[in-house]
Amino acid sequence: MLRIGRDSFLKDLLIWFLVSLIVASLLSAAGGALADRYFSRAVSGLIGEAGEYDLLFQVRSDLQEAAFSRLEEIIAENFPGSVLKTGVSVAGQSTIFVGLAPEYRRKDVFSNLRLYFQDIPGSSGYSLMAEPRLTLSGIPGQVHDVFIREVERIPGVVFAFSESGRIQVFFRHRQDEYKLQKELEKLLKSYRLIEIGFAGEPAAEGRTIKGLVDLLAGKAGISYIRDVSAEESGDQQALLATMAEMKRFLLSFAGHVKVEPEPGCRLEEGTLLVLPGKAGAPLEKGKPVKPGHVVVKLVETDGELTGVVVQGETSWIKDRQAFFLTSGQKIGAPAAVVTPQNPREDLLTALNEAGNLLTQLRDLQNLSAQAEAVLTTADTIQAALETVDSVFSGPDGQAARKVAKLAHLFAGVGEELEIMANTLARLRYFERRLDEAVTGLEGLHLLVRLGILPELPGVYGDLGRKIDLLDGQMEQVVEVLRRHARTLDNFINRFNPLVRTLMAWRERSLALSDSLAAFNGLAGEDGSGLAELTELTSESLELFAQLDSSGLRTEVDTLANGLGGENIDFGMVLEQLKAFEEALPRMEDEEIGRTLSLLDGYLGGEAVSGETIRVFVNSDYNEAEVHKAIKEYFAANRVEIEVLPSGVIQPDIRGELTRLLRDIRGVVAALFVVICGLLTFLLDQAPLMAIFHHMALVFPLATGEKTKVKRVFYHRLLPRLYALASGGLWFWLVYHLSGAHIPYFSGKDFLLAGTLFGYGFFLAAEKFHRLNLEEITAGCSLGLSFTAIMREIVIPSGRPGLLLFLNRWKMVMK
Amino acid sequence: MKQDRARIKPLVEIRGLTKSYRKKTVLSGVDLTIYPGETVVLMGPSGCGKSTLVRCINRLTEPDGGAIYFENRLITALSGWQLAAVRRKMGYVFQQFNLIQRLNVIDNVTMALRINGMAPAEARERGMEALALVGMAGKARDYPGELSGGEQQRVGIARALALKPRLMLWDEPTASLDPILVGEVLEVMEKVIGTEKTTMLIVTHEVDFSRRAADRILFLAEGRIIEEGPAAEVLANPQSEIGKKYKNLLKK
Repeated sequence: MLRIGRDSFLKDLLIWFLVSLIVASLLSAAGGALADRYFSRAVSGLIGEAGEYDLLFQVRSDLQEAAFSRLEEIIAENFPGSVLKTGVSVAGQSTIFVGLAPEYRRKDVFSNLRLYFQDIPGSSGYSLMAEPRLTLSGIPGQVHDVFIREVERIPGVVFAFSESGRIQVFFRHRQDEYKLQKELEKLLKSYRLIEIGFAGEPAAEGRTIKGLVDLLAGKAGISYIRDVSAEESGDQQALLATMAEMKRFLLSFAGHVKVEPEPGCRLEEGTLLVLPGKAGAPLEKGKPVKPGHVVVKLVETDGELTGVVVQGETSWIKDRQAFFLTSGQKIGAPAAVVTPQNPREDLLTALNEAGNLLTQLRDLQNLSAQAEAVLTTADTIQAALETVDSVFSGPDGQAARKVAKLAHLFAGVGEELEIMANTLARLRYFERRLDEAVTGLEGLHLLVRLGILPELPGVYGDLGRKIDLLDGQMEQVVEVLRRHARTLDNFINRFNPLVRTLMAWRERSLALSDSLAAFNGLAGEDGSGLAELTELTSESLELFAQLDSSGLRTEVDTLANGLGGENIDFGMVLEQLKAFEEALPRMEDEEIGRTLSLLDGYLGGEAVSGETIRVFVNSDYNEAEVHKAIKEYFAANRVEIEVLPSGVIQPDIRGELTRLLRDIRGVVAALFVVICGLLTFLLDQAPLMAIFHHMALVFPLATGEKTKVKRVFYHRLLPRLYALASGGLWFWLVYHLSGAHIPYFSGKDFLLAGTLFGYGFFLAAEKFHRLNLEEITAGCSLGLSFTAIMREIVIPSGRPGLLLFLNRWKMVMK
Repeated sequence: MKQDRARIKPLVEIRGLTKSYRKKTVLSGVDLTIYPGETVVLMGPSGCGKSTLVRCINRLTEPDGGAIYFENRLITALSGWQLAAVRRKMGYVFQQFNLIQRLNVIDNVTMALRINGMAPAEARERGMEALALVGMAGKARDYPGELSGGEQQRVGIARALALKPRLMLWDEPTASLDPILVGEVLEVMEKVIGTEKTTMLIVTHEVDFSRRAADRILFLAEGRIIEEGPAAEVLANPQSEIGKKYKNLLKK
């Protein structure tokens, strides 16, 4: 029988099996390693050593030189010390590598690379190949900020940033990759993406994603939830952003009402209220709403309820009592008292006023001259008053000649005073206009800032830049005007008491002058008029003394510098204001209200049949409870809920190549396994398997009890089992020992394939190795054992293989 | 060879031996006794089961039923090394010579001896003796491919003789030879029979050789021994149709 312990052929077979496993595994592994080495060198030649380059540009081969020059310029300008290298050219496409200097391997640089590397001739973009790096993909763009924050907290991570819908994670040491990958996997596992579909059946009306998010927040273990239904990038997101800004603008622009609820009334977002409007007659409960009524819908803005007009106009509102609008379009109970506000009208007025003012700004530049005239006049008056004062206090004050001269002087000063008063009045008028203009322009300025365009300059390009410029110019205008208004106000306020006193003095002096002319002398008078004049003269002179003439002159100099000194293009500002006014929507309150409702529906993510809703949540929630809540919320029978991973980890380019090379190495090793296997079977196994078809000859059994069973086992079953096992085990073991790997083909598959191959080979073994049965029969007749027959006759007649090689040590008849 | 069979134990005793190949019955209850030193010739038409009977004796073919005793041992109950040991006591000469092509003449002859542990020199000596007996000592280093059919068969005979067997089984040793070479081999066979005291069971159609060399002749037909007796008697007065046909082949 077969015995392993002794010098039997079974022992030979086991030794051969082990040796062949080792040899084949080594050969296969070496084959794979050689392929790996060859391709690794090729890859290093193609994309450099690990971490050598950061960016890979693909350019048209015919424009390679131009692209290279442009990249050189960019690097010299922005990243001095960085390196450039030309790569290979294949199929009309060439590669250029950029290795950034270490000081530029920063988050701010990598986040803005696209801004630096624009306008590269013939370039179809670049790929990031900086290392060591891991890439998270599949994460919705709306939650990138959350992920980046969390990723950057992981020890070993240098920084992370969002790029082309992915999150690039840079870490410090390559050897940390596995550890970080595990950390990132943990992070990804802590979030889930819930996809909700409706399978053609509509959700309940008015159910929105926002509503769902509000419902789920804080429920059933959901601590984080975000609507990510919109695409992370592209036109749809731009459209949504635009719509959101438009909504903000329209909310500021539309006529609306401030709402004060009636005591005991509970108002909430979406409630409809009705007001009399131009229908006139007081509203009666239970009556239907008419077209002349004003209907407002309550929206929540900054935590307060505001009514947006969805029917009628704000200007129609006379009676401020609002009533509920019931579901049957009937008037309900009193709900609130409203205060209409119409920013649309206010804005148009402000624009109008600002425009008018700006047309007169050049006139305002004369203000300084006029103020200067006031000052000159004041000087003249002061001199005159001092003369008058000396006359009054002189020893020969009764001289008629002097009195006559004084009368003449009074008349002159009176005219000067008239001019000064008029000028000051004009200044006061301009000051008021300036105040109005400043207020209007400030309002307009805020609206421009509120507007959507400057926030999306990248989307709207030139128009956005113009609005931005207008914004800057207007800020300057507002500032200058505010300063001028302050100066004028100060100037006028300083002169006002003096002017009032001087005007009184003038009246007195004119009256005195008239008396002097009539009576030809002051002596005939009772002297009371002169005394009053003397007192006023003294008071005026005191006021003159208090007037800081030099300070006022400095201020006037400021005015004299005027607006021209501020380098403001009034023409442009006016033009832009006009364009802005014309660009404002010509919409009634009702139209705006309806548009706002539509925008709300869309922005709130109203569930639409066939649409898919995606919400991003933390993963440790109660799935059953959440799914139930979702189904109940949408009240649709065929709501389909799928829970997806939050994202996946992608290795970098080199990682991908390394993986590819690993695959290649695995496949090459597997090919070697197959080749070694075929050789092993053809050279070594073929004579074995062939002799197994003649077991009755070489391995006769004793007749007696269970003879048939023994024959079936030893002569039929055992050879087949050997064939199955040797094929399966041999291929499976070598496959694993050599590190072979075939994508989509596991070790188990190899085991199965090897088993089938072994059995197939057994069936056809005599075709691969023709046994010389005469020799074998002779061996049997000579009383040779099975082992001797195998060692001396069967194996030596086989092909030169490992078995034959090992058998040489065992042969007697060499 | 005249012996008192009652006092001598048979070397080979076969009882009720049956053998079929698929549905064709080749041997249907053969009874045969061979005594030590006896030369028995088995004759019969082609396909009658002569070779099968000889092969069954050393179990190169497994019998379906019956019992075969060799030296009083039931050899159908043997396997492995026990069977191999019994086989070494039976020399077998094949119709097709069955030499090992990769070995030269002396290695062919001494292979069994050496594998079973005999010292090379001793084995060689015995081998050369056997070769000398069959007149092939001069070609000890030749390979089978270099020899004629008759020479190959003589080597085959020497290989069997080298074992010094108790029983020599000859399975139509001249059937594959051309008529010129047949005489050469028959001559060697007669010489061996005359020289060695070995028991012989020879399957052959050579009637004249049988009359000269055999102690007993058996006629086998339809899976049974239909006639047997001393060679001279059986061939002089055959009772069976087969015997008569063989008688007609005798040279006058």
